[in-house]
Formats: sequence, C-alpha cells, structure tokens
Amino acid sequence: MRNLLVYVGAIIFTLYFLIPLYILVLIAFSPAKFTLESLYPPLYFKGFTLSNLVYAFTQYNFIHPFLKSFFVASLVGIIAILLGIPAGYGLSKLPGKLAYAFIVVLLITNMVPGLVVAIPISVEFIKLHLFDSIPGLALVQELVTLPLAVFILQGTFSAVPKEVEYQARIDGASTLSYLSNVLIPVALPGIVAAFLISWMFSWDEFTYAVLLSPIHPTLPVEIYFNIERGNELAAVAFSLVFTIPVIVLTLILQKYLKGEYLAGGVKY
Amino acid sequence: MIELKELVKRYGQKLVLNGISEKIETGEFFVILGPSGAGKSTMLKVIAGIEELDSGSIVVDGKDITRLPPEKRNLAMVFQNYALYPNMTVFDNIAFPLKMKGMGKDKIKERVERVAKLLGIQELLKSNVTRISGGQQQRVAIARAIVREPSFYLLDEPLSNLDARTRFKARGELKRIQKELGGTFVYVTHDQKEAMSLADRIAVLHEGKFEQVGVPMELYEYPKTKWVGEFIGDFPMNFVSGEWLGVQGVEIGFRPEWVKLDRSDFKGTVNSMESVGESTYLFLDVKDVKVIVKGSGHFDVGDEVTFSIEKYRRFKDGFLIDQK
Repeated sequence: MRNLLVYVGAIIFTLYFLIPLYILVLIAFSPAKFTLESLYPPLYFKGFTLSNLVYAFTQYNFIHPFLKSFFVASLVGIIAILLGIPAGYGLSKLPGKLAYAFIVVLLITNMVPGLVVAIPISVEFIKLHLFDSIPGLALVQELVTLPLAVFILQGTFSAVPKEVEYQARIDGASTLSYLSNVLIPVALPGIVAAFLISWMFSWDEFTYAVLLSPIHPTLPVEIYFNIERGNELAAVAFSLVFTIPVIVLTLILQKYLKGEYLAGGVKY
Repeated sequence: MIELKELVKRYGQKLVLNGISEKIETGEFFVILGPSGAGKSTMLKVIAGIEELDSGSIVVDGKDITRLPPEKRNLAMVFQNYALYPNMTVFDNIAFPLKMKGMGKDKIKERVERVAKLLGIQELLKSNVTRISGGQQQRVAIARAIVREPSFYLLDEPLSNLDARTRFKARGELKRIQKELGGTFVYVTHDQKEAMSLADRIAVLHEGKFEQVGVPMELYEYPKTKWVGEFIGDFPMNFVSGEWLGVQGVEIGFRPEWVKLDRSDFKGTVNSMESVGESTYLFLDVKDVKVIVKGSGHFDVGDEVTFSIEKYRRFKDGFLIDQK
C-alpha cells in the first residue's frame, strides 16, 4: 500500500515536469493547423511533420545564438574551474569554521537580484567595450557560478586527507606539482561536477543575458525574442535543440550529483 | 647523524615541545615513545618541515635544515594512514619521489622493481592502491619511503592500523629492512612493547621533554623517574614507602617480575588478576597500598598471597637515586 502511494506520487511528480516537454514536442512535430492555429488544440498527435523545423532552421538565425550560448557557457565553466580550483584549495586549508564563513559571504552575492547588479554592470561594460561580448557575459554569469564552484571544490578538496599533501611535499613535490599530480586527479569528480553545473547555469541564464547581450543574443534570449515577435514555431524548434544538451548533461551529472561528490566524496 | 637542538613548538598557549635536544646516530633505530597527546606526531612534523619550529635547530650530517621546506630535506616519511596517492597504481606511488627528482624512466623502473622485490610486492605493482589490503598498503608506503634512499626516515605509528597478527610480522620485517639498509629510522609509537622490540634506543616523551633516553633494557631496569617506571613495562612499576624494607626517606620501586611468591615478608589479598601466557599478574591490596605481582598457577579473588621483594630501585622526589 505504501509502495503504491510512492509510485502514484512519483508519477504525478514526473508528469508535472514532463508535460511541458511533451507539449513542446507536440507543437514542434505537428502541423500548425492542429496546434497554434486551432482554437482548441488537441493534446495528442493528429499529424506528423518536419516542415516546422525545416522552416525554422532555414528561415531564422539559429546558428549564431546557439554558438554564442555554447561559447559563453563553456567560458563560464572554464573560468569557474580555473579560479575555483585555487580558491577551493586555499579554503580547504583553512580551519573549517573560517572556510565556512568565507563561503557564506561568497554565496550571499547570489542573493542580490540579478537585475539590480546587471544595470550598473552594463553601464561599465559599455565603457570597457565588454557589452554584448562573449567574455563580458561570461564574467557576469561568473558572479553566480563561481561561488557555487568554489563551494563544491572546497568540499571535494577537504576530503583529501592532509597527510597526502604532506607526503607529496616530503616526496619532493612543489605546491604546483602536488596540485597537478595528486590533488586534481583525485578530486576530478568534483571538478567535473563544478564545470557541468556552471555550464548548465550559463546555458539557460536569462536576466544577465537579455540585459548585457541584446544585440547578439544567446539562445534563450533569441527564443524569447521569437516569442515576442510571434514566431512561435521558430521558438519551439530552437527550444527543442536548446533542451538536448541539458538532458544529456543531467544524465552525466547524475553520476556526480549523488551527494557524495558534492559533500566531498573523494573515494579514499 | 641528526642533531636536535633545543626544539620548541607552541600551539597557541600550549607548549608542545619544550626544549628537546638529542643526537641520533647514523644507522640507528630511534624510537620516540609517549602516550597519546604527548607531542610525538608534532615532533615528526617539525623534523619533516611540515610544521615550523618556534625556536631551536635541526642539523643533519652537519647541514642545518631548520628553515628548509619539506621537499628540500631529503627525508622519507611513512604516515599512520600510509597517505598513498589514491589516483595512482602501486608502481606510480613508489615511483613518485623519483619522478619528482626528475630521474629517467628506465632507472625509475629498475629502482622500483628492486624495492618491490625487497618487500615482496612485485605482483601488486599494477594494482590500484585502493584495492589492496592494509598490510599491502603498509608495504607500499614503506617501499615508497626507501626507494629514494633518503638521508633518514620518519615513521609515524606505521603499524597501528594493522591487525595484531600482521603487525607482529611487519614489526620483524621492519627491523630486518632497517638493518639491511643501514638506514637511520626515527619511529614514533605509543606502544611500549613495539618500542622495546624495535629500538636501538628509546626516548620517552612526556610533557614536551625527553624524560629519559636509553637502550630498552635500561629503561626497564633503571627508569629515571617514577613516571617512566609506570609507563614502561607490560604492567607499571610498583611504588611503596621505603619503610617497607627499612630504608628511611625514600620510595621503593619494584617491578611485578621482581618478587618471589610464598615468602613470608609481605602479605596481600588478591583484588583482581590478569593472565598473560603462563603467568598471572595479581593485583594485591597490601597494607592499603595496591601492588601488582607476577605469579603462576591458579588464584582466586580474595586469596591471601605472601611474597618478598627480590630486587628494587630507590627513588627520591620522583627521581631515581640508584646508579647502574
């Protein structure tokens, strides 16, 4: 009986999240007369067509927003790792309480609404010629992802026994060769998790993107523009492609997001 | 030769090392023995360069290494948890110090294989270090220490994570390896039995100082202070008033092994007992004093036992006054 309730709950929960995806697929692959153009659209496939997608990808600019999103997200992931590793390593060597205080302060920046920060930043970015650029947007999104990456990496690094570092030093390793030969390979799962989470955050980030990169928009912003202009079919087609990397990465991340890696589950 | 000169180390208000001086000879198996929290591990960390000294200096073979970072001290260390690199195979673990020295690949391979053979772990070289047993991990840690031929070795309770049987075997092996290499070993332990069986000399660390340094038998026979007498030995030394034997103004210390039973000098009641092999150690109440004596055969709680003290040392104000 209890098992049954769990299943019912799980099914309701799953449907709640999957129905929007289903409708997306429905609109993308049905002729428009059954969906957008009908007054009471049915919730099942009445016909199948690829012409919506062909039309969207040939008539509208898809590849530029896609590449912009891809480059920004990858840059966000890379910066998060490059700055997060030294920061996380440093924090992992502080006493636990002090490191925790630092991380709380870092995460507090996330609590300021994006809109509030984005406007002054865009003013400065225009002066610095970073407005509407890939590095500019990546740097701003780093405001949110970097603290998160530092938090994950600090946890992973803290799980490596300090004797291992002592041993490496005694065996003749400098700090840099300890990092590259021992700590980074040992903490790889945590590093991968930090990269993927940063990448995914940037991939569907909207507030900063729409304010700081409106001329050459990223994919979510382009989808939004298309909806605004009434090009729902293009928006639906782009959304479909937009979702695929998220699904793939979530599947990969599942392995790393089992808690043990985030809580510093280095297998030792 | 390692010369420790007036080592002082504080953690906040707490004085952990309070002016330790000692010379450790080349090729010596030197054991630092002390209860938990006496500062043994701190001492090794200071010698290794992981912790900085507040004052004092360390001189190895005439060279002052006090201010050198760990990677420049040319020493090897084995930690209690072995501190193996979990991302590497056994081979790569052992090869790591050589790789850091920038040694050639062929030479590394030859050296690693030679050391692996010495420790009987040739078959494991390709395994991952997280997939081998505790005893094997301990050998890998030792192999990694000896492969680089350092000027000396530091060992921090390397046997305490092993089960009793493996530990016994590993103890003998460690001693054999040390003699074979002729290496200088500085070995830390809280287990006095381990210290007695391994050491050329033992230093007893108590409250930040070496309370006594000597060969194992000397510590057992002539403990410099009452504290050492109680700490060394399977059972602590007994201390009673000198008047028991008609000596004024001193305390008498005698070991449970230094009595003969069934002599009428003293009489006591058995309070509890503990068997060790064929012997039984009896905890007696004698004239309101607790005394431990060694006997053999069967006893019961409440039995009356008579004994005489065959051998004893005299102590005044907690210090030994007899000379060897």
